[in-house]
Parts: sequence; structure tokens; C-alpha cells
Amino acid sequence: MNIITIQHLHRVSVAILAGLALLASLTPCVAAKTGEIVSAATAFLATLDDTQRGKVSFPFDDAAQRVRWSNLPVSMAKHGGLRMGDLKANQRDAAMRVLAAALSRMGYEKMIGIVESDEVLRKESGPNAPPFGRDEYFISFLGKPSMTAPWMIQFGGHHLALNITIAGEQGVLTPSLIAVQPARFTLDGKTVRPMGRETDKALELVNDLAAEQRKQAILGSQMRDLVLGPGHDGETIQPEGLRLSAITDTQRKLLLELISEWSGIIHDAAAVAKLNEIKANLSDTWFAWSGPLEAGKAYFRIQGPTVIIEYAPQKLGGDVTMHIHSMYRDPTNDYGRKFSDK
Amino acid sequence: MSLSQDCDNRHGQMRIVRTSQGRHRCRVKASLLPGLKSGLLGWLLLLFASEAVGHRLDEYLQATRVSVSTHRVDLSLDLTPGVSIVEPLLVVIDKDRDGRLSRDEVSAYAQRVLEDIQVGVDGKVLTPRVMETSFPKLSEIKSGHGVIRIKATAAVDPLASGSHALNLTNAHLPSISVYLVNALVPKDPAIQLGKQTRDELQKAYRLEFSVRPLPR
Repeated sequence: MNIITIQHLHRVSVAILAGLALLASLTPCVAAKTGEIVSAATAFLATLDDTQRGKVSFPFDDAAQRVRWSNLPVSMAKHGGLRMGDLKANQRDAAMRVLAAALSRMGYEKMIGIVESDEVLRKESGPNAPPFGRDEYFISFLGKPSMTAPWMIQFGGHHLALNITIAGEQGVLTPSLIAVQPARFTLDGKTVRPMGRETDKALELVNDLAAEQRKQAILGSQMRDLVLGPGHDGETIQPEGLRLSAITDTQRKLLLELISEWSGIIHDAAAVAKLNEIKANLSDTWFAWSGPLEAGKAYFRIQGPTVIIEYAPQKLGGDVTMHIHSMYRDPTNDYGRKFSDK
Repeated sequence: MSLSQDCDNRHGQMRIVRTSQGRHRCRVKASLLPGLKSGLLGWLLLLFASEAVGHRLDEYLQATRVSVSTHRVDLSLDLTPGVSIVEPLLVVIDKDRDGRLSRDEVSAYAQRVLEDIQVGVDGKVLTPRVMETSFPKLSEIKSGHGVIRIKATAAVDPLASGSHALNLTNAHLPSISVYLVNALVPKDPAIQLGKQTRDELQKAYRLEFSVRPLPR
């Protein structure tokens, strides 16, 4: 794995990840995890003044803010909440602690990697380019941090939209947009690939398919973008490709590892619950591939009753392997609606 | 329904909704841009500035979603022009070349798109009607991140139980376009979707489906 260690990315992350490692060594306790997230969110709010608290907080049922996310640069898509670049250092660190509490270690690293790639884009872009970089990400809360009532953390900007719903002991990460450009860059002498594992694992999976399986999985048409990207909440497309009802143990392992690159972004307790749910529906899950059998050059989709993952390399920039968009949805539970409707 | 409910022009975006009483006249106009001459400079700047950023450049993405029920077919189109094909596209939309998109031009363009899309069920050609059109600000279109949205519906003679097939061909501006077509999982419990077949570019699409008799 070529991802850089997190201490090279963000100084404050050292302490955060040390804490996460300690927590991971303890017996997992979902309620304790919710408490940790609520504590981090409350601590963050305490660093803010009244004006900032007003800007970061939205009602849980604020439909407009809920869908205020995009793959686009922030100058092209309005974001609510507080901009990272407008926060003081202690406030920014506290915001990062909220994300560190709500995400797994892998998820936090992926998020930081995406933000850092945007920082690379900022440094490489001309003066007329849209605003890029680590200052151009926004955090907001929908609802009040609570151990029992549903609430949401939103964090996003260009190429990133994390919609994290916490509902008591439940945690939901859908819908989330995970994207990156450049998909590979060098930082402190090390190569960083924030979406490298999913790129490699997908190719490994498709290469492991038998000829007849692959024939079913490969769509005969070009897929030029995400089908269910921003603006398509509540839509479910007809699944297609290879139905995964009869796959080998190796294929099943590869598939679950691939899915975990999205389902495992949220904290471990919620990720385990989500992956178990996906496993239970694996025989009704589909895998579709469009494009060459080369890493990072093809579109793929995994679709089951409770999960839709799309991965779409983007032509813009010349090298499609350097610009990736992906979408992670649950057609039954985007924004934690299954929990919040109760 | 009041005029203000039918026409939405907030922030320069234009939205026209067909109501049960037919389309209301909307006096709003899309945000007025500088004339095309002065706009060209901005367009060129945007083109150069956007070399590295995450939005479309040299193609017109036309994404269609098809929704089938026993008595109608709904089409939902998202049209996203890349920055370098905006000018040829505006030649089609901005008929009088005044640098503005009037309501009539927007309506005419939506109709033109539908006329370029052939859709039929079991060999019978359908005639979709525009139900809703949403146009982004022209500046958004010119920067490659504006999405033109068109919703249309076509009545279908009530479909009998058994197998059926929908065929769709999109011939709208093929020299600059790329296409996506997908079927949405139907809300109508009588409809069961089957195989989707497309040509390589997704200009031609076939959806097999069946209508199940519902228990009384």
C-alpha cells in the first residue's frame, strides 16, 4: 500500500490516530463510540463563538442543506456550514477530531488524502482556477449532537462529500461522494494514492472472474460518468452485470475487501454492521464493469439491495487514472432515513 | 396555481413547470449575460482555468433515466455541456444570438431535444411531452458545471400482462455528445424489468420488461 503515513499529512492527526489506535485495542462498544462522537462534536461547538455556532448548525430536517454537496469546486456549488479556512487553529483541530471520531482510521486517512490531493491541485493550478486546497472544505451539523436522537455531520468540498448520520448506536455514511484528483501524488517524498486500494482491488476482482462470469460482468457500452451522482437522491437504477449469487470464496473475499473501501470509511462499529448487512444480501448483489481491464481505467458498479457503489474515471485532465469520481449509496437508508423515520 | 409557483427564476436559473392547466406564461428571463463578444473572453478564461478541475470539458453528457409503468413512460434527462462545446451548443439554444436564454428559447430547445429522441414500446412510437425544464445560469453552463434538466412523459396504451420492450434512440447533437441511459426501478409493482441492451455509445437502448397481473 502506497499511502503515506498520516503524520506526514496533518500534524494534529498524530494525536488523533494514537487515540484511535488505543480505542481499537479495547473491546468495541457502539454506545461508547457514539458518546465519543458526541463529545468531540460538543467540544468543537464549544470552541466556536455564537455567530459560528449559528453558521454550523442546521435543523436535522433541513432538506436544502442536506443535499448541499457536490463533486464540484466550492465556487461552483454552494456549501453551508463553516469553511475550514475561516477557523482558528484550535477550532480546525477540534473539527478534525469530530471526523476522526466518526470515521475509521482508514476512512480518516482517505479523507485527509483527498483533501491533500486538492491542496496539490491548488498549488499546481493557475491564478484563474477555482479555489482548491485544504481551506476550501466545509463542516456542518444537522440536528444537535445527541446520544439518542438522529443528527448528521457533513464534511465536504471539491471531490468530497461525507454525509454521516448518527442515530443512537447506528451510524450511516450514505450518500457519500469519494473522489480525487490527482489520484496519485508525492508528499514528503512518498507516493500517496487516496483511492489506490479500491482501484487495485477492483482490477484484482475482475481478473479473478472466470470467462463466463466476466462476459456477464462487462457491459458492452461506454460509461462516461456516475449514474447516481449528486442530485440523484432517492433514485435506484436497475442492476446489471454479473449477479454474485455463485462466486468463489476468493472472489467473495476480494469483493468484500473492495466494498469495505467505502463501507469501512465510517467508524469500525458502524462499518462492521454495514458490511454484515451487505454480506447477507450478497446473492442479490451485482457487479458491472465497463472499460479496459486496466487499473483505474474502467467504470465499475456494485449494486445490492442496501448498497450502490459506483467508480467512474474521468476523462478531464488527460489521464483517466488521475481523476476518479465514486459514489456510495444505500437506496434504503441514505441520510439514515431508516432510523430517522422511526 | 399562481404565476410565482410556476416560474422559478431564483439566482438567474429558469424553471418552467407544466401544470395540469397547461404551461403558464412566465415573464421571467434567465440571467442576462454580457453579449457574446464580451462573453467570449470570459469563456476563454474559463476554458484555460478549467484544464485541471473536476468538470466536463469537450463533450456533452446526456444522461437519460427511463421509468416505465403500465400506462406511461417517463423520461428524465440531465444534459451537461463541457466548456469547450458550449459555443456550438448555444448556437442551437440561443436562436437569436442575443446572449440571453429566453423562455421561448428554453422551451424550444427542450422540445428539440425530445424530437431528437425516439422512444417506443412494442414498436409503437411514443410522443413525450415536456413536463418540466430546468436551466442553470448561462455562466454555469459556460463554466462546464451547469446541468440542463428536462422531464418528459408519454402516455402508453394500457399494457397487457406479458413481455414488452421499450426502445430508445438519442440522436441529439451526436457529434459532440456522449450518452448514458438507465432504467429506474419502477414504482409500479406490476412492472418487472428485464435485460437492458445498449450500443457502445449508449445512443441506442432497449429495455425488456414484463407486466405481471396483480392479485385482486
